[in-house]
Amino acid sequence: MAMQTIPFYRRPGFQTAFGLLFLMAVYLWALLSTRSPRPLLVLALDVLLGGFTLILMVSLTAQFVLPVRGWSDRLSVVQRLLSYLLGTRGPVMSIDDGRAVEDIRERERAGAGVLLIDHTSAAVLRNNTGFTRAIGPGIYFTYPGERLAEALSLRRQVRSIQGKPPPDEPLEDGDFTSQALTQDGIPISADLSVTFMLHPNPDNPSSSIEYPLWPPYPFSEVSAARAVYGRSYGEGEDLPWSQLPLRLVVDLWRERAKRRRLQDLLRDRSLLQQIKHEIEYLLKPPPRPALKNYGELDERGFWEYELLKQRGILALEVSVSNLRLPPRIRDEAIIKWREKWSGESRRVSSQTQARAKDYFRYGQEEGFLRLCHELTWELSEALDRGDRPDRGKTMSMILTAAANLSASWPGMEDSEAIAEEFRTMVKEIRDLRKKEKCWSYTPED
Amino acid sequence: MSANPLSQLARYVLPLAEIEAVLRTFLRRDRTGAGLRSGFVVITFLLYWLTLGLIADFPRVLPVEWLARLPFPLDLIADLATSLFAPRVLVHLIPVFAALWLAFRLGAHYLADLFELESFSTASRHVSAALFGLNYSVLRVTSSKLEQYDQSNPILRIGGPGYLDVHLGFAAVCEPMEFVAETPDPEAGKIKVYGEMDGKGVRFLSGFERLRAVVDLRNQIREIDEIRALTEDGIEVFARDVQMAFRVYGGGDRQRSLNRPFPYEQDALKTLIYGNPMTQLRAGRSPTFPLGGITGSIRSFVEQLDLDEFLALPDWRLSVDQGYPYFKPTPPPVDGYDYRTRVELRDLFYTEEMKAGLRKKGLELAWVGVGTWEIRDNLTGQDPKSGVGGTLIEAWRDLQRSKPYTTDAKLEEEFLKGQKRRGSGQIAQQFFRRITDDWKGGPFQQGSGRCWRLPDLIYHFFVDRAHEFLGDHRKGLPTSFEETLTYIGKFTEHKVLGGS
Repeated sequence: MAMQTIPFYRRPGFQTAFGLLFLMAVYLWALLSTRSPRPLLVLALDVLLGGFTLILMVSLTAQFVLPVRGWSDRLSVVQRLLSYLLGTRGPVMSIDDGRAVEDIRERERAGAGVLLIDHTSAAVLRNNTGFTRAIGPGIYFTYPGERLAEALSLRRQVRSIQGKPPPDEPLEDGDFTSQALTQDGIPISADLSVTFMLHPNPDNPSSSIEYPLWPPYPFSEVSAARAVYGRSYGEGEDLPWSQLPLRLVVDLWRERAKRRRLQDLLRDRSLLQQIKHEIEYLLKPPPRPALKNYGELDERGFWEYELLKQRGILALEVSVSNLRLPPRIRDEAIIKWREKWSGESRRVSSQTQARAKDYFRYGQEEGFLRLCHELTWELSEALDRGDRPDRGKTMSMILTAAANLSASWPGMEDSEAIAEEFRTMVKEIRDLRKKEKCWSYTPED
Repeated sequence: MSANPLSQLARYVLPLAEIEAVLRTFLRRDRTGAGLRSGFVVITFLLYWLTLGLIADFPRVLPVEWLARLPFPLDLIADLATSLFAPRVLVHLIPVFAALWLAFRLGAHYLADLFELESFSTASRHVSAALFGLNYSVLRVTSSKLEQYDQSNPILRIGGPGYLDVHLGFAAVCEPMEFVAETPDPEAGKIKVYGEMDGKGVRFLSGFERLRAVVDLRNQIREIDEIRALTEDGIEVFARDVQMAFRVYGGGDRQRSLNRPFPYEQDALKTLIYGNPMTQLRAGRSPTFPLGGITGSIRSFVEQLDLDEFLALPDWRLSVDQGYPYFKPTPPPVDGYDYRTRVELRDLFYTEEMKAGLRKKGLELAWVGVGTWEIRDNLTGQDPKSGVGGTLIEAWRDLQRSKPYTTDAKLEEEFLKGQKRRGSGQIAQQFFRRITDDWKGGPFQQGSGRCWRLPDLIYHFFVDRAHEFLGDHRKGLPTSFEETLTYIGKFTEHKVLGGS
């Protein structure tokens, strides 16, 4: 009982013993007080009567501390309760949902005990030198020295492992992952799971039988025994029966993944389902579903299935999903998509930008040539005539042409204002020609 | 093997069948049996007590004068009754009482040890209820999480006898002691479901009838934080905030009403509780709803689509059309863009196939919200802008930049002409502004230095630009431009001393 931390005077055992002693003391005191003529005889009679009542009442109580039915079980539980009273008891425990509900030292008790197993559980018993029996749901009275070896669940079980993106570094010792290699050597992983149960009928294994989802579950002593004595023991950890199927699935996943290339797995996601079917084909009992490559699988052999059968396990379903790729492969997919999606638009955009730039430059060139023509034609004609206009005259010619040009230049901002400024400049130069000699300078040939 | 002669004799002499029947009735685990036992024990004890009084000759306890004051028959009754409490009588009750008490305590100890109960009172309550029908426990079912109940309730840890009060919106599934019928009642050896479909009110659980689990019949809503999937082109996408509303399968044709708001099918409940595979980590007895199939469906749906299809991107990116030298954006469909991925995914959950799959697991789906989709740009060692989100933004920007280039060649021509106009306007503007700004605000403003600065600006403008635009070929210039330029250049020379 889980009461190690409470004070001794609050422990039920102490309270019972104390209560009993108290009643005995009260009885003895009362007996002496009544001054009975033959106290010893009275004492003996009372003790006999008390003992008889105790046995009767224990027998009655025993019927209601365990869910017994048959007369032999009823008798057995009375014996157990009396042994309990005398302190020569064995293990007393229940098994609930495949887990033993027991005290720390329960299995060390050597006497005859009792096991109460619920409808979804089973167990295998042992003594110091061997396994004794496998038992299913119900009440079982253990013999002296017999104790629980392992508790089992009769319900469907599922074990899974989540894939992780394959690392670039090597795996650590003890890492259990679903990492596999494709045919082209690329590490991948996936979420794997396997649903299985303790084989209800190992003598007639068949995939086509539908076993009940709720109790009463069929129970096979052979399977229970196989599951327990088939347990593997390692240095770091043990491998109970419920861990074996997932290990096999991971191994088969690695084997089947190695037969595929990464590109095929990405392009055709149904290949993952095909791998799942192949693993199921190799793990489940016949009749097996028809697969395209069943010949190759048949040739390979079904030793995983045989292993599970020898361990009392029936595989029901396998799931392979959620493929995971190394980060760099994943990045490559994005880069490829990026190129497909925006590569063209980037190229075209660059091309169009370049064209716009070219035409802008053509415009600049045209503009410059026009300036050359328009601003210098009057001066050029004067020079052709043999005239030699002075500085002021020359500038006036150019600026007058600039005024006219700016006013008429298409798209010119503030064209009128600029033209007006040029006209003002021309007037100023005309005035300056009269005042400053430099404006009337004419260069020599 | 020869039968035991004694037992054979007993079979003929004693009415064994009748004795067995009486014993079975006496040991029944229901209220009838408890009543019989408590009556038997009480009566036996009283008879023993009376016998003790008789043997002790009903010793007088009360004073004679007190009895004399009482009328007949009260004085007699009082005398007899009080004589049973005489010490000479009571002393012999103690061993019997102690035996009864010890047997009771022993049973409770055994039960506590068997079920590893934290509280001894749980075991003693069970024993008193089981043996004598005293102090039946009541478990009020108001939550599906058994961990939230008072763990000292015997019904929770051990089972009946006791009462189960299942409240609205819940159903309790109880296992019998054994799957064989103890009584002619055909339902005695079966798993029982207590809920509104099976009659309302408080139910009596017989001995060791165990509460396996409670199922919440009300609409449930669950959210899955994140579902990872890989598109057909190998890009990871994440569904966030996927929500689903569902409940226990109600039997299909059962209509919900105020009188029956939470219908259920018994097999659906049993499937939920027993049929879903156990994982290694599952500790409690509260059933979990199997939603893994929904995650798988979403994942499978995404895996069949490439990213463009999945995101239902309108094809507004640019593509090269062979007949047109530059580019041509794909025009939108006549009816608008077909953003159907979310709708198709949502509709997936309302197909008959999906409904049948969920029904097999004991559920019916009310609604699925497929959540929002996230594509992470966390590329290993790459600029995040290179990811999917960044790419879409960049592509949109490229489209905006290239918008002037449409399918219409005339418009494109107009645009390019416009670029030319801008270019020529820009060079003219540059020249005009340079001249006018310098004349107004240049270094020789108002001074005589302007007379050579002005031609200097004009001269160098022509020289520099001719070099920039025309290079060495001078194509397009007026015939006598060089001569004219040389003449202008002469005005740029200035003499420090005596210059003009």
